[in-house]
Amino acid sequence: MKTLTRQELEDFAANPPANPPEWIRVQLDTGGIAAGAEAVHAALAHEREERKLLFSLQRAGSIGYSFADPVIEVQAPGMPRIHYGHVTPELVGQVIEDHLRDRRLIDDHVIATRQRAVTLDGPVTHLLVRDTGPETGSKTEFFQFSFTEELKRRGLAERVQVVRALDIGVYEEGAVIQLLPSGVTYANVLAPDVARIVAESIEGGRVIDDLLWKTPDRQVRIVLRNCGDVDPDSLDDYLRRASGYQGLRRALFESNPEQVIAELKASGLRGRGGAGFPTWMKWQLTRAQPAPQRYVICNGDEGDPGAFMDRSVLESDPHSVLEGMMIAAYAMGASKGYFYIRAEYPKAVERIERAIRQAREQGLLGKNILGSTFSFEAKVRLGAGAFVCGEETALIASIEGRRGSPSPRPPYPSVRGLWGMPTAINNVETLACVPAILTRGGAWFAGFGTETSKGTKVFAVTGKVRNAQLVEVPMGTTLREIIYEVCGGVLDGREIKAVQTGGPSGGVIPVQHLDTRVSYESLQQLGSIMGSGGMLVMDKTDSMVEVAKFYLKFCVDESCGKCAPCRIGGYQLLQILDRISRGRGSAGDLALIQRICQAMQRASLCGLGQTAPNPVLSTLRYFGEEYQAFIEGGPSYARKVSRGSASPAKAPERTGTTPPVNPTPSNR
Amino acid sequence: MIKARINHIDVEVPEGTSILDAARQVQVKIPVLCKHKDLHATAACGICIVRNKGGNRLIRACCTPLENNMEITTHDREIVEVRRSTLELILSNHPQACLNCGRNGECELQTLAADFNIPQESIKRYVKDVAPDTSTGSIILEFEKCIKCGRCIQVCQEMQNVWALSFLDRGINTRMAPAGDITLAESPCVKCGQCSAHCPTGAIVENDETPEVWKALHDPDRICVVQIAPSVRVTVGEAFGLPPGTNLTKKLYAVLRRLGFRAVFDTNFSADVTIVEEASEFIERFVNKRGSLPLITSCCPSWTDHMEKRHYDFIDNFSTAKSPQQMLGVLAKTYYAQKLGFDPAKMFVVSIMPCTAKKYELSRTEEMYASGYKDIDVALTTRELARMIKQSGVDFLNLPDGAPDSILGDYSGAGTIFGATGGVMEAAVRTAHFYATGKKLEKVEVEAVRGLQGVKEGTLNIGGTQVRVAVAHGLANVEEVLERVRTARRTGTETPYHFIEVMACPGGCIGGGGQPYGVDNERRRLRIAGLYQDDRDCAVRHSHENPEVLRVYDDFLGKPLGARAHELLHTRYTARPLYKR
Amino acid sequence: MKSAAPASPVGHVSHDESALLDLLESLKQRHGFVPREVSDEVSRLVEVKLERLRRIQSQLDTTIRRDVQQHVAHWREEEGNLIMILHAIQNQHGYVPREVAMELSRELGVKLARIYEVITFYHYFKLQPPGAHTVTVCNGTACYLKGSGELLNELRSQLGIAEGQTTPDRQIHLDTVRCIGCCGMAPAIVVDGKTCGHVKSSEIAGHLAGLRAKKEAVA
Repeated sequence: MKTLTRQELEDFAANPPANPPEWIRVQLDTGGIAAGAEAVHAALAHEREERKLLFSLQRAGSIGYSFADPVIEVQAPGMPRIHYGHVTPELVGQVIEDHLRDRRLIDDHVIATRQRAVTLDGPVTHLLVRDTGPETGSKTEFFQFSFTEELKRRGLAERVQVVRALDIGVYEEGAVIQLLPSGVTYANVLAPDVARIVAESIEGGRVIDDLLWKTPDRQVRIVLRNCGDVDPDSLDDYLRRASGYQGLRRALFESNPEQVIAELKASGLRGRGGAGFPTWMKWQLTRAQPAPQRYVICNGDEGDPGAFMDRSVLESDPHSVLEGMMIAAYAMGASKGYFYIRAEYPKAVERIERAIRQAREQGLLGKNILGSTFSFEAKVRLGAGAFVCGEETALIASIEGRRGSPSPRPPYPSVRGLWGMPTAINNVETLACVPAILTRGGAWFAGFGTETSKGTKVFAVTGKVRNAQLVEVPMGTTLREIIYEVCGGVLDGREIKAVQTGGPSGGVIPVQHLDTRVSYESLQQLGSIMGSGGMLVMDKTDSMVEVAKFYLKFCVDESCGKCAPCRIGGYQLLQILDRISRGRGSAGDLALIQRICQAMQRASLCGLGQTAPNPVLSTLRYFGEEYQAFIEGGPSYARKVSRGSASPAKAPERTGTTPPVNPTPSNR
Repeated sequence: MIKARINHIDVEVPEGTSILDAARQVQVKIPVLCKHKDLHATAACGICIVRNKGGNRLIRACCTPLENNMEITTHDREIVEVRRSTLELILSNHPQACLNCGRNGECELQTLAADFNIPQESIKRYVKDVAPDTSTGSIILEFEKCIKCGRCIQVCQEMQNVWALSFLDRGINTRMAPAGDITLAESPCVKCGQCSAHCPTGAIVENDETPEVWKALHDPDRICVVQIAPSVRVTVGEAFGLPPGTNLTKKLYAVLRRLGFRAVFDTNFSADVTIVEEASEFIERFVNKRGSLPLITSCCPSWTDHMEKRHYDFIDNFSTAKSPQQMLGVLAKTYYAQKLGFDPAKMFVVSIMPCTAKKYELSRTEEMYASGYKDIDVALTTRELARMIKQSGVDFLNLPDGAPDSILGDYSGAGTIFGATGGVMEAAVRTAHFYATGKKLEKVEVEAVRGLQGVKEGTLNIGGTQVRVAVAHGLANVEEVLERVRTARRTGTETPYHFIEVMACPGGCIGGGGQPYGVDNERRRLRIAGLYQDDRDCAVRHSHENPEVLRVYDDFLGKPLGARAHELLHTRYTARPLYKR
Repeated sequence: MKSAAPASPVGHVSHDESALLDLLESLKQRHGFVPREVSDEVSRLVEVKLERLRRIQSQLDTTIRRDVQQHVAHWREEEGNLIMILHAIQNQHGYVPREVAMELSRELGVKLARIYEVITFYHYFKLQPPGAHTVTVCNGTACYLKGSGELLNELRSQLGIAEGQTTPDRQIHLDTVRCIGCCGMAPAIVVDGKTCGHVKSSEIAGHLAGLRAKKEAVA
């Protein structure tokens, strides 16, 4: 097979190809497939065949709208690109007939674009409507009816379709409408505004300033830049449509390894796996170590319960991670790389393996890549169900075919890692940032974020949140913005109680700290960590003791068992929490918890044991009264809480008094 | 050199020295449970944490090398608090059965708990109920008492290359056990007992057979006799507070008699017999070219077991001569019984050995019953003997010297050095040289095979012919020696060695799995020095010159390798591949 | 064809070793002796059975060896192959059978103890054969908050087993998984590879009935 040349790559950069005018893209990531995306794809293929249609049927990864799986994206000539959620095979006929043929959108499936415009370019064709108040269903229908009637009255009904949106991207702002194709969005629309909007905006082509939703989307997609867009199974798609391997080209032909590291330094990129070690420094240290062989490992052993950023990136844009790894390898002088991926992620494994195969066939892997002096090989190694293998030394042990028990550091992997050779281990998200940094420059990347935490971070927001989804925001965005503005706030309009970040190594952040700007340091100050990016939203009905128990149980199950403080400390701590949550705790238990936590934090060998107490300590710090309530309330109170007939924050003798809205944190 | 400060004391150590070792040099003791001087740090227990100035983490002293300008604090309020909590956690996962434990009074965990003075249990005890593994009869695995320090596993896998023990499962369920849900007896275990010698607690102990011996001693119908192995004389004192290497041969003779043994023999005597047989075998193979070379020593039962399981392509190379323990047993129940008119059925022969595998050797094959009875009834380890002496009420150290019983008691210096690595080789070379040339070695000490290096090689001149020898101790060291022989076999080149000595335990029998606790290389050296001194103190330093040995051949056995010798003093080996279904 | 009385029964009884031996015993008791030709015939039959047994055994051994050799051949030159080979074995058998682990130890030259250390450390590898069907409850945070605990309790009580166990008839295996990455569909369970989202505990019985029906359809 003919291999890719440097010249061709340069041509791709200069002349991006035009997309076909009519296409449907099905988002086939694990979440989508679990929700039935394969069946949707099959139905589309079948209809296309049956009806001899010409639209291009494409596969893609996920844009991150987990709440709406399965998701498809439709492009019809002269219409904006439209995302549909909750698509079923039965809906396919409608997509083809209504959307492609009649250019009419489908009620209750459209997901509004986040690219909100402030000017109307050309005539309005569609009007999306959704009420974001508490009784959304009836009000949305009311507004659909009103707008339709108004349009009819003015004879515009043929020109403009009023569509109920599945999601409109603005929340808790009353009735919201979006005008297509521009994306101009109005919020807090009241009944009297209907006539105004039709008259001024639709007929008159003017934007109504007092209704305009000007807040731009909080999201900045760097890591997720291609997710849901490119076909993860096609190198060609990545090369032509996503300026793929341009970062590698720049690294190889327009700079040298030192300059690549300097670019990374300028970007301020820090490890996205959780610890936040500067990426350039890791590469520099590995590079500085004299050795016959160096390795780069991509850590895809994403194990935090509730975190699925890495899976999504690997499934949706595998080539960008591979490209990132190659740039890293070039910078540090490594000739071999391993993707260490959870075996529980078969789709991610399949796609990265295919990406490696394609890259090898095209000469992007192997000897003298693109005619340069750089040679590199990449392989996949599977994890086998051990969270602790996310720890660097344990991961190395696992690849070497041993039990994934961490080893003492020093020596650090950058000095003595895989097979005793200098090794740099980077997280999936970190590597996915690298090609973008190389093509657009470190300074561009550093333009996002805060002083110490640059760029963007992907979060998997789940739990009691309206829209469970992947979110990529600049560092420094507040928790409130992420939860309320991007993800639509708490499910069923309940009151938020706390957010858990950092998974089992993290902690809970209570409601009074929701305006904290997210950065490595700020979260740490609150007793939590950035972690890999899991973000769990909890409402007032969730018991903090139970949440602490959940995370602790996870760590106890996942402890490698090597060192005593973690192995026994975690187990004993769990016994105490269990006792408390059954109402059988005693007064001395809280002091004992503190003592065991201290031993685990200070004397455990690796991060897992050192951080396992965090969920316990942070819930104790902010919600100590809940523990107290269980201890004082006894078994009958515990039963009530588990049945949901008592609020987890109220001790029985305190019933009747409202718990303070902003409980003051206990002493540090 | 690294210069740093520990508790404000200047310290200078070579690069790579751990904080733990560096602290010892300035008289600072950092408590630790998992690290053993023989082994590399596993960082398992979490007790040895210390603080480096400016660092926000506590670091483990066992596995962190001291670096220039470090300022280490080994004890402050937080460190001590954390250590104490960690220790309490370990105790909460350990049965409270100290008084009935084989390690009572000698347990590292017990000692540490006493040092920390933990007054009450604040953490609820959680110990998984698991039945002990008694399958081997040599070593008992008391799983409940295991603190997962990993010493035994490192010993078994790395020091001994046996791979019987492994860490299975994970988290709180992590356990030390033979892999694949089998008993220790079905595993590759060779019963060397190094695991028990390195275990900090009572999780791995020798099968204590002292009650059986007491029973026999108290039975008026039994004629109890006893033998003491070469190495025991220089180690037993450690159990009574004496320095390693103190030679207590004569006190042992005396105390054993006080315990009630009718006759006290010395395994050194039968070691001389073993040498006479083995040296004759070597001459037969090397000079007369009958039989395979290299000849490999077989007096270590762990090594024999290991060979039958993993290296059975060397069966033809093994010396068929029995070990000194078995030779003495069979001679006691035949020759000695006949001489004194004892009914061998009533005789009860006990051996005091440095070794847990000796318990297994007693019934290894049918040749171990050559007398018509079980040649040795019970083998006790040095540790068990010390326990018996303590129970007996005899003031051991102040006893007047005793003497062994004649006809199986006299020994040469060659017999006594059996207890040290290289000793069998040296003793055999002394006699083989004489057999081959009719002359004694000019220098009786064979320096090439002495010392603690894992593999020792040398070329010895025997009557103008160069004899190439190798000595390996610690089973992991055997691999490279055997591999060299295999390569020569494959390529059809000349064998790299003519004579190989293997001892399973590092240092040889003085480092045996049944010796007093706390072994390390320093102790091994002192114990070996004690044996070499004993050799120098002997008037007779060649096995074939031991008058009692000569007499037993004249009176009873006939010629070395002769028919009777063959019947009583030799054995056979069978290939026993591992994990055979 | 007629034959002597004591000799005839041999041809008619089932060729079961213990039945044959019982027959010998009863002949001995009834007649005080066993005719030589009878005992010879019995030992011949036993020998034939043993031979068959050995043949089956050796065929099995050969199959295992061939399979393991294939896996090892595929991975031999690769660094870090042990876990990848174990994955291949686990995918093939649904667990890692003891015989296969032993064969792997020989073929790959890795100590059996090391192989078991690895198998028992990683939860993905199983030492017991799987059930015919598997129900997996996602225990990710999102599912947990939305009631995966109740689903698990319901499954436990309906199946009478704990997670990680298989029903005594080896039909249904119950397991939990850290996160299947379908947090948008929480709480989720996976029934024989099919993900079911937004599951309520009242629906569990239906899922199990579906599996049992599948079993009967197959039977």
